[in-house]
Amino acid sequence: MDKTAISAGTLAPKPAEANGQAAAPPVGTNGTAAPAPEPAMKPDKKAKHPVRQVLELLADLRITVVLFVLSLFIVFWGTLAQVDNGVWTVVAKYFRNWYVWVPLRVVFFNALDKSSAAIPFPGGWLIGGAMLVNLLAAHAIRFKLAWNRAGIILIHAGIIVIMLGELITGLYQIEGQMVIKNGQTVNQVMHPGTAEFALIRTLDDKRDEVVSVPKSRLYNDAVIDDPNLPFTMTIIDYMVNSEFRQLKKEEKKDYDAKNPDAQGHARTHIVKKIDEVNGVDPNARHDVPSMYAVLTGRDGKPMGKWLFSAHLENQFIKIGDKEYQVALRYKQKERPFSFYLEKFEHEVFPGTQTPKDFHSYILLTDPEHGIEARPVEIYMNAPLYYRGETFYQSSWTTDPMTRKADGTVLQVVRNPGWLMPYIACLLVGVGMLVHFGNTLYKFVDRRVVR
Amino acid sequence: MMLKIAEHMARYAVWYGIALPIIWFGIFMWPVRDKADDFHVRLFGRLPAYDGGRFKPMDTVARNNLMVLTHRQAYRDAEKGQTYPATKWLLDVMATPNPLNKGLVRILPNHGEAWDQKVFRIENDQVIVMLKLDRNELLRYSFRDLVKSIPYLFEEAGRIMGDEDQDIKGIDPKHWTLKDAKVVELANHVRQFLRISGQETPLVIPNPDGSDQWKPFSNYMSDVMRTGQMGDDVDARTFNFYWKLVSHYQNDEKDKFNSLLDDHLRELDKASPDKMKRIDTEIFFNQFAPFYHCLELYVVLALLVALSWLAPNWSEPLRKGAFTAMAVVFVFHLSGLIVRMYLQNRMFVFVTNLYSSAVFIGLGCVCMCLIAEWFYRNGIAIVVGSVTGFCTLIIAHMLSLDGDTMVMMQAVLDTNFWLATHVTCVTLGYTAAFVAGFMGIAYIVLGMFTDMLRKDGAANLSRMTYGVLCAGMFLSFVGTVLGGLWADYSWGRFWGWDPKENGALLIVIWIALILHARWGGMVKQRGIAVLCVMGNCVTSWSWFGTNFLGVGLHAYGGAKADSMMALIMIDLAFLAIAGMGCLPLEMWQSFRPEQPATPATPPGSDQPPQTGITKIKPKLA
Repeated sequence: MDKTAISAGTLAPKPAEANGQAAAPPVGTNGTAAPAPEPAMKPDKKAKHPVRQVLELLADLRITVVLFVLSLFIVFWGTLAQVDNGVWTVVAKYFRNWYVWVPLRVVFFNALDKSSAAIPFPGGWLIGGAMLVNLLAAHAIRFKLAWNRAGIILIHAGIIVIMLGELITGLYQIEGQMVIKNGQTVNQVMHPGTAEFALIRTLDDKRDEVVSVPKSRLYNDAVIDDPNLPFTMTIIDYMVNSEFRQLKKEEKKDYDAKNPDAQGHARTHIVKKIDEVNGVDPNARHDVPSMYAVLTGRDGKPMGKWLFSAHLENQFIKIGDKEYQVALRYKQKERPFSFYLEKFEHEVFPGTQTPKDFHSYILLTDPEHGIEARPVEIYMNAPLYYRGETFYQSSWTTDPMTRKADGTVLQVVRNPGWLMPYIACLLVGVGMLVHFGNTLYKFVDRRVVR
Repeated sequence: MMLKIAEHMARYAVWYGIALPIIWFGIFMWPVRDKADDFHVRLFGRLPAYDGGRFKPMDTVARNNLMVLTHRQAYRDAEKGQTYPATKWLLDVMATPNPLNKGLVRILPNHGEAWDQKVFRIENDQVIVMLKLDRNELLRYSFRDLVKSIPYLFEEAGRIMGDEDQDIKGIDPKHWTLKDAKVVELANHVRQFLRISGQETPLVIPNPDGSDQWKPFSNYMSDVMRTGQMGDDVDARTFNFYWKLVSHYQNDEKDKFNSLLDDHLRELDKASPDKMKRIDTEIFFNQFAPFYHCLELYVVLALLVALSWLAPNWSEPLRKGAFTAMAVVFVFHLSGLIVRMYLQNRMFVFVTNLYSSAVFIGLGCVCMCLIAEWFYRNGIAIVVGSVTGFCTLIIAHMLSLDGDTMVMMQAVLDTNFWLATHVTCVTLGYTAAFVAGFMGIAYIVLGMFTDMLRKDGAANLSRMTYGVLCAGMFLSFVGTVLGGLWADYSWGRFWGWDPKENGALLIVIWIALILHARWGGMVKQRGIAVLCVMGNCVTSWSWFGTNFLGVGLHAYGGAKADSMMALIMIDLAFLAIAGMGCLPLEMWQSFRPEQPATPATPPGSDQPPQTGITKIKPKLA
């Protein structure tokens, strides 16, 4: 699939073929014949309006084909890149972006080792936008509203809707997760991939005061000095994805000697950096961030080395007479309704590891709508649609001791553009039936006449 | 004389076409029975078992296990030159006491034949050296050959795969070498052998409450040993039956074995006639192997048409015969898939896994080519159809080496509606893309080496390709969008940019590219052919390549490395053919001006001189 082969095939039509073509006019030709360069070369014809000239330039079918080639490459590379990066990282970098630096490793089918070299390439926004312009320009000048063009117009209208739908999705879709253990009530949706450092002070039963530091400010050697925080924080080691374990007894002595200033979780646990989860991961896991940081009080007193990790529970810290909770966690947002998980069931086919069914039995409570403990079942291919969001069965949690399922993980998606693909599908489907059906009819008709 | 035969053939070509496949299939449909005075091992195949999440006859269990171990569905004894049914091998292994259970081995020193049957296929030299085996030509080794190195083999496999109990972390499968993958594979095969001999698999003892929670023989036995008593229900009777059956087999008591088996089967027939009917269908399906015989017939068909081009007098009868024969083979191919759907209890779900997608693509290719041939009676579509049918069935055959071809589906895929619509549609899209691609190959090969594309030939073939491309555009687009709707319905998002979705999108874009390039006059007949051939690379990537992504292309290890290399080779071949299509027209037999010195038209051909070509001669010069 190298470029040279394509150009050899497409851009070098040999004269001999023109002969065969002339004998039998193409069956489904658009009747466009637009990119034929002759009109432009004949100045003696009536001069065209400059707008029309520009439109003609933009509507060139050769541009369409080039854009198709570019989109082939970006989609292909965007797939290969998922071997090293998470799917949403790739989507943001390759598809929802104006341009992208494609690493040479990806260009050469992941056959190279990782290197910093990369080539620039137009991203999804740019290619999609150019396609839209090209398509609209073509319709502006080339297609007249006529019955025999109806199919093509429908198809192209559908394509426009589908592309706009993806644009809206790209801009406004929100994805999150709800993790509920058996017998727990949860109204929080968390967003993996959007870590934050949070400092929480409980004001009273109902209210918390939260200060959060976004992911963009968390990196190695960052110093976070903000009047809202009762301390300054210097990040020693930030890990996008990590694994953790408890310190073993025999290691403890050695570890304490090396880390005399360790506090909280840092005294009992150890975390290690691991590779980012990639887009082709069969278990569809997500990154779990952790970081080591040194805290210093506002009075300049050292407060020791701390470990914050999304693997671990919130830690309590006392400064002066105030008690705070601190955590590195996924960004989360509360919903005005809550889910209580009665039980989660995970069945496999007898004698195998192949999953047969995942089933969450949930009680939904929404005081605003007067709903009290309404039973809801969420399972594979049967999500819950509620208040503009979709809750679907995504995964489950296991008890580390018994290794048995003890909770459910629901994916939460809000997509304002969800209806557009349905409309687009209808438009394109009907359009293709009309267009290709018409072509087929003419073809059969001509044979019958002959 | 020859003329008379030709005349006769011309008149009855259709009937010969119908007769050929029916006779061919008829031979293999003939049921094979056990010898009366020997163990009724084929009847043993009728016993029901629960394996891999599905009820199936012992016949299937035996065939699948043997297929995984030795890549064959029957056991061939090379020394005696005899072939036995897989069920005999399964019985032999079941009758062998678990070799790792030293106590049992002492009580029952007779291993039977299972230890000496050369069933373990090892083709990797490094593994052969590692286990200190003597290289043998058949690449197959017996349990006795391996038995001494088993502890070492398991230790190595544990080191590679990791072992939580011993706190060994293992190697990331991404970084496995080919040898690592083969060691793990062999260790799994040996383990499976041990599990069968230890009666841990398949699950043969039914649950008295009638649910699908069956137990293996060994579990039940340990229950009996623990509690010291055995109930009187269905499962106790079945347990007793197996206990006696296997000991009769061990003690070489043929009559007792046969009568016990007969009685038990009669009981089953009476108790659950429906289930036994399904089992008999499956055994018939196994033995008949319809897809395998379709594969053979497609080769015959392609040869017939090639012959028709060589012998002009016979051309039309042969083509007609081949066309009818292909239609009949198509019916057999289709009925094979229908029986599969019946056995899996999923009507209209043609595709459930990679294996069935290959079989279904083959069917689709043949169907599209039959339609194309109906319109353009030139034999090219028959060749394309039989070649694609053959290739896809070969791929299906390779895939069947992994074991059961009717595995249960993951929970997420457990929906007949979407499987019947989206998957069928997308797969038909792949099909059309492949048919167009092979028509492109036909255009290049026939144009370059024969005269067949003179006159209308090129235009007809190109129009045929165009029609298939339009169908492909429609099917792959609708299929891809249906997939999006499924995703939206189940996961709340239409498009997730995951590898498989992107693969389908690539096909849509590629076909759109060809069609637009054609509408814009950028490519003509030959350009379309070249692009279609390159499209084969795109389609094979979407169909197969995405499955290798997890492996990483630089890691030549991993179990899938062989198939990945094969895919790369095939794609390179497609590119080479596409490159050939870009050669100057003077090198094309069909398009170069005819030279009087070498008569290009075969004798007997009624083609007039090519006026069209001579016209453009000055332009070429």
